[in-house]
Amino acid sequence: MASITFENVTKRFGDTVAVDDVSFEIRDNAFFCLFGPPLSGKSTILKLILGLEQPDEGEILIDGRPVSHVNPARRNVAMVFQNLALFPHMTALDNVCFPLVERRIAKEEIDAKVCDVSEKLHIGHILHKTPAQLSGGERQRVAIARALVRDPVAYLMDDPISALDARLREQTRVELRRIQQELGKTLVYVTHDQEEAMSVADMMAVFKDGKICQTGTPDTLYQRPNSTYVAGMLGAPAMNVLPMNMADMLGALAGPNGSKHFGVRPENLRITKGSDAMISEVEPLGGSTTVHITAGDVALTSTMLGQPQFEAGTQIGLAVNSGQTLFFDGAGNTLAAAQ
Amino acid sequence: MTDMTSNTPSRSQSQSAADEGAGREEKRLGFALTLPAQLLVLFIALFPILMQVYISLTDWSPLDGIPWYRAYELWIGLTNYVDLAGDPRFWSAIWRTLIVMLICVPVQFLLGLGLAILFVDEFPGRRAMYSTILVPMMVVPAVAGYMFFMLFQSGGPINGILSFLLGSSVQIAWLSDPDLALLGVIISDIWQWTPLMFLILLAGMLSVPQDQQMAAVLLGAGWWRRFFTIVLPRMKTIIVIAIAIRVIENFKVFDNFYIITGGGPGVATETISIYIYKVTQNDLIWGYVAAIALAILIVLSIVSGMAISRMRKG
Repeated sequence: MASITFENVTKRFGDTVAVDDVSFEIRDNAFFCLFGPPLSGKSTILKLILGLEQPDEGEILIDGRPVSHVNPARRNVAMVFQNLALFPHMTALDNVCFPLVERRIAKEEIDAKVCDVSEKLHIGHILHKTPAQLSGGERQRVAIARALVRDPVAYLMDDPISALDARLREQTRVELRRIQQELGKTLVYVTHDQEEAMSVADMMAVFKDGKICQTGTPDTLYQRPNSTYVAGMLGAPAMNVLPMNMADMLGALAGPNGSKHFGVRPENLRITKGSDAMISEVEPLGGSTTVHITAGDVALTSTMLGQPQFEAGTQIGLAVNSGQTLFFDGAGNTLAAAQ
Repeated sequence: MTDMTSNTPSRSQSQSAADEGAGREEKRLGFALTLPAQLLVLFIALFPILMQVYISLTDWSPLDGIPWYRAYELWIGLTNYVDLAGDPRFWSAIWRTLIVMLICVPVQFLLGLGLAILFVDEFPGRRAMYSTILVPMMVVPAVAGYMFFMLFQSGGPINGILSFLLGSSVQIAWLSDPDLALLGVIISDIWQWTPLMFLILLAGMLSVPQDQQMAAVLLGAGWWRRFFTIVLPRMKTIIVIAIAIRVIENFKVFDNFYIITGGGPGVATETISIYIYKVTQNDLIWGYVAAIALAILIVLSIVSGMAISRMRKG
């Protein structure tokens, strides 16, 4: 169990700044999600924690102790790779035992540990198979078991379920959450899927170009993003970010001084009677419906529960749920908390 | 949905039966159309071997004035094979070939593996050195033979360098001393063919996924353990291929041996290929030669068969 702290860490690869003066703290036992588009520095953060890369500036602390000069194998941080990196020529059992054999641990102890970890991950019945004979989800669990068996202080996962199909991904997400809670260990999780990040994380950090834009609980980031970037990264369909001259039309309150744009989540944009806007497309999704709207040359989306009967081409009015508007300045930063 | 599933089986069954009938007919036609070409290919592949079997059962020689297809007039049955089994020169040539192989292949393998390990990671000048190492492989074997022939002369560069290093005149008769001549040709073979081993093994080593190696590092495995439990097992197939290629090639080794020593002094470096060549060119007993060649073909087929079955398992 360990906390992980970054203090003004910078990492460059040649002329590219992969991680740019980043500071944050991952608390003990947290399910911490690093979220951002590809090449925004998330994976480099993992490599820095593992010790596969050294920071150019700043310091990384694990459990309060600087680790810059500790070799990767001694940091006792486990990693589940994106493609799992199981050893295909070994059985699941040999894969799980791999980190123990090196440390010359007594056979009884190895057996006990493997027993323990395979019970937690429900893989006892597949240990004799090779990775090629396992399903995607089983392989996943074996990889996690291999990471856990030597009792690491924290474990890292680099987008470990992106290779699975959609249904299995949902199941595995729930599973990961359960495993993390049972084990009670710090888990650092990298993903580029906002739904995945929101559903599993206790805390998350949103990355852009090697910098952290905002850190907080998924709920905070969703409700009170500090910029149009964070607001746009979370939630699907994305938040409507509209010019201030549309505020009157939507019945939104006037924003603070300096407001250039205001943001409304699709679920807070209501369709009313009127002729300010027009429905361009209706997307029924079963449990909910997404309506695409044009107002002048601005495109908006609204989502609502159920399957309301709308038709493309209908003239409509728009309204905003009160108190659910965010205001941004010219640079895209949030000006004040939601009203 | 339900009525669809209840309908489809009967239809698809009759459909597939019809398909099968049509397919069989099509197959037959296809076979008939390709038959002449297949026979031709079969003939080209099999004719020399069958002819060899035929000739090996006779006492035929091109000087007898009998065309080869009437060689049955000189039918002697298995006599050639019986003679072969009791021919000490044949057995010593086989034995010598095996010694060359048993020294060359392991040395080439270990040197190639060592070089491959050095070249797996990037270092300054890697590309230039890589190309340099491959040069011997591209030298024509006959040319390499002449090169080593000159190097190993009594007054040649190797003795010259040894004299310089030892400070006194060295006059080793590399190629005319029966005990040293084999060493000379073995060195030339190792020089020329280690690069091929290196090339194949490096390709195999580079194909071991990086993330598996990284995972092993993070799981606490040191270099040796990583090499023996992750890298080598993943290279099994390619190692078998590399060794099989060199075993077969070594069995057939001829050009540089013939040029460096001509099989001599005496028969000190006479490998099986050189022996066959001598019997063919000097003694002209072709029936006997055919028997030798066939015996070797069988041995090599067994070796490559074992390699292929090993690859299938891997």
